[in-house]
Amino acid sequence: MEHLFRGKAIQDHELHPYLSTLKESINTDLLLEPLDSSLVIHAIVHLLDQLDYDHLKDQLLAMGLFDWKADDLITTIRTAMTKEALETKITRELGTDFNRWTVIDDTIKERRQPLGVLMHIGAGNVIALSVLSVLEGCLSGNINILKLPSYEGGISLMLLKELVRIEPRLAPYIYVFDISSTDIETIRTLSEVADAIIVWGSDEAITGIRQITPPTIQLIEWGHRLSFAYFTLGDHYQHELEGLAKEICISNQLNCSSPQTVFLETTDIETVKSFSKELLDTLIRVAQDYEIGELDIPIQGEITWTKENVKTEAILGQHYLYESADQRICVMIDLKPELRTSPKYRNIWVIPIQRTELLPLLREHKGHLQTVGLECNDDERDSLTQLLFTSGINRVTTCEQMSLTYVGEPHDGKPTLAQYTRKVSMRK
Amino acid sequence: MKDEMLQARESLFKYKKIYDHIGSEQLFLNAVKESVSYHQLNNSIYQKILDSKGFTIEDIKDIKDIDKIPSIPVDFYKTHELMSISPDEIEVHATSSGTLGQKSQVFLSKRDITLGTKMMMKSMWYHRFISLIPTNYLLLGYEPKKGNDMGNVKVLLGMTKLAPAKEVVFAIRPLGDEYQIDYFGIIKALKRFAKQPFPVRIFGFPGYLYMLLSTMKSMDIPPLGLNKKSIVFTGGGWKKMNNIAVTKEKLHALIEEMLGIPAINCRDFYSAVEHSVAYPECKHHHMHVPIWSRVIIRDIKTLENVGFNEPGFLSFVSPLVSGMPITAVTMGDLAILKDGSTCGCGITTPYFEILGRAGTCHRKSCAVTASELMEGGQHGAFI
Repeated sequence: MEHLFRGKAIQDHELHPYLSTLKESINTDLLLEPLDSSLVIHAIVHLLDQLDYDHLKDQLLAMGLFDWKADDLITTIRTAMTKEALETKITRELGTDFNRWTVIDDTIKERRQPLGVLMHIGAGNVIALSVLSVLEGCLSGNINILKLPSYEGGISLMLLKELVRIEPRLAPYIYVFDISSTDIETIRTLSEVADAIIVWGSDEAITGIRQITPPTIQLIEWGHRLSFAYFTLGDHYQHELEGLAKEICISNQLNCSSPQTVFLETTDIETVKSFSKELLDTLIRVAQDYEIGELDIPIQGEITWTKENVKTEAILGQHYLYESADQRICVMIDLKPELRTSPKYRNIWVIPIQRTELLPLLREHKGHLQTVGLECNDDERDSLTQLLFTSGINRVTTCEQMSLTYVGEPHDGKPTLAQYTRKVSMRK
Repeated sequence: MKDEMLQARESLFKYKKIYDHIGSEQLFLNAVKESVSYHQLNNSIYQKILDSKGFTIEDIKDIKDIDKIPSIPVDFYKTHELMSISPDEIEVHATSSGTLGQKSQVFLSKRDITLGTKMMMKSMWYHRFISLIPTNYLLLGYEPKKGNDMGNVKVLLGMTKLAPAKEVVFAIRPLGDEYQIDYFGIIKALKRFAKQPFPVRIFGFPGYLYMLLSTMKSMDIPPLGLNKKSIVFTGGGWKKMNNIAVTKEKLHALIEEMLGIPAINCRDFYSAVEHSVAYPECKHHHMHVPIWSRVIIRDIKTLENVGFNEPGFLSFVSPLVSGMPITAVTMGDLAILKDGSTCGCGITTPYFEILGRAGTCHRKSCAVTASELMEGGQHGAFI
């Protein structure tokens, strides 16, 4: 196993001797001049310019991604990481006082500056997520310690090594450790030097980190989230089904922003059934452009398991199941209004709901909520959106754009880079 | 029809050789057909399920046909109370441990319990787990308290009947409203047991045992030389501790190192409240299928019987229970069935190996999982 210590590649047997110097190394580097974000932006842009995309794509394909998905991911990274995009991100998320004094009055001034040292607990669910987290740490001027997730195929390490090669002045800001999540002792050693721990992952991962983190270290949690589509009745929904189907197929419902359920605002079962059939037809048509092949056994198992339960419930009339002839796409109806998670991969719930039921239902899941793809009449959009925000939702968008972000968009209701900084004040 | 009248079931449970599938085949078949007909008659929901699948009892002509009995996914018992007996005939109402929040409701009649206990005793006798030597017990489960009717607790308590109990210590104890693992209590008890000339029996989830022994090791507690006749029984899988799960061999090595109990005395077993037949491991650590049930592995897409050596859903057929229609059930576990004659332990019936649960492998997703959603962010002791 390989690690990066102050930007330098080290081997597993060297880890412990190096770790014993971690505190000293970081204490020395904290005295360096503040890291200029334009230097970071320049290095990132340079990295993306000279990256061997064919090789990267091969790596993504080797990790099991389909051709169209690998292309899509590469395009997303390239558009999110231009000089202009990164500069806009900094301005939107950090404001204008990053590393600059703002005068409050004659005797007082304030400045936003890095937290200092960030420890990133990566998650392997989104490819290259760990490296993006470290880049955000660098953009906000912090020293970054990354604990790699156990199944991300070495992409983060490769990219960060390359970044340091391109811009050696970033070396003091980058540490990467390929250690197991069960190695609590090393995780503790790493976290002791951190001002904040950024944890990506499941409730379980977050709970684990909370348990071993002393109260003096700030925790920044980017946990699992749940999203859904919300349709009211009206002429609008016919063509929006296409957008919903695209979102379902492209994301495979794997993102925290992708829909697991469609709530349909009606009390009429026949309407729910015809909506579901229409959604199934649209999904079958759209999915032809986004082939996913055979699924892993546990994933296929969950899909079959969920459907089998729905089929059994259907005998009693509470559930309905509509599926494609090849059984790879399905729409499941549950007549009981409930927020549900689907088995993903083009299997989605449709659940009838009344607007008055929405807030109490969502409040049951506060803290897990994220995006709503809202399709409604124009005259009800504002009031519905407000209701969703009040209920704990952070993003309201169209179905087709549920997984699409814009530069500087808040993450789970917070500007990311601002989380990695603090405001200091000085009074003479 | 009273469930004592289920004569074919009685005949099967009188059969003495517990791993003789061939000799007991006709008895098993008769009992299964009787069981299906009984539930059909006494449970309208079950009748509806069979009707919807177009199944009739005449579809079962020989043992190969038992995979045609509609198999109910066990999650169904989490949302429906299915009784085939009247409420006053319910002797035991057990609930599953509910890893994902919801619990199955299981209803057993007096006769179910009698036959189930006999079955268990026969199995334990066969595997030589019944002893007259006074024994200290460490149960890695919940100390019973009022309102706690989880099947797991009942199984654990039943196990203390296999050898006279000198002392029984529970690992998870109520502390106010919450259950907590009493590490210090456990370690104190083990040290006490090590000084006595009696065997020790440890029962519980493998994850708890692994955590306990790893903690002892990291606290530099010296290994304890427990009596060599001591036995470790694990069951229930790793549940939420899957992220720290180790192989059986690694767990056995740790047990031997820290407690001095040899691997041959470490036995895992599979049991599920929705099935009621227990599957203890043989001395080669294989879970063979006894005469009271058959295991069918079902295809992960079509749910068709896949036979040996192919992964799929674990499903059981057993005529044991009359309290509710669990004659044919499919578990959420993925497993593989192997030809028992390759084991070499002396038992030749097929054995199965658990591969994990369907859908617990959401490494690629950052969307909330079913278990997270159902728990709503509550994180008490593992349940």
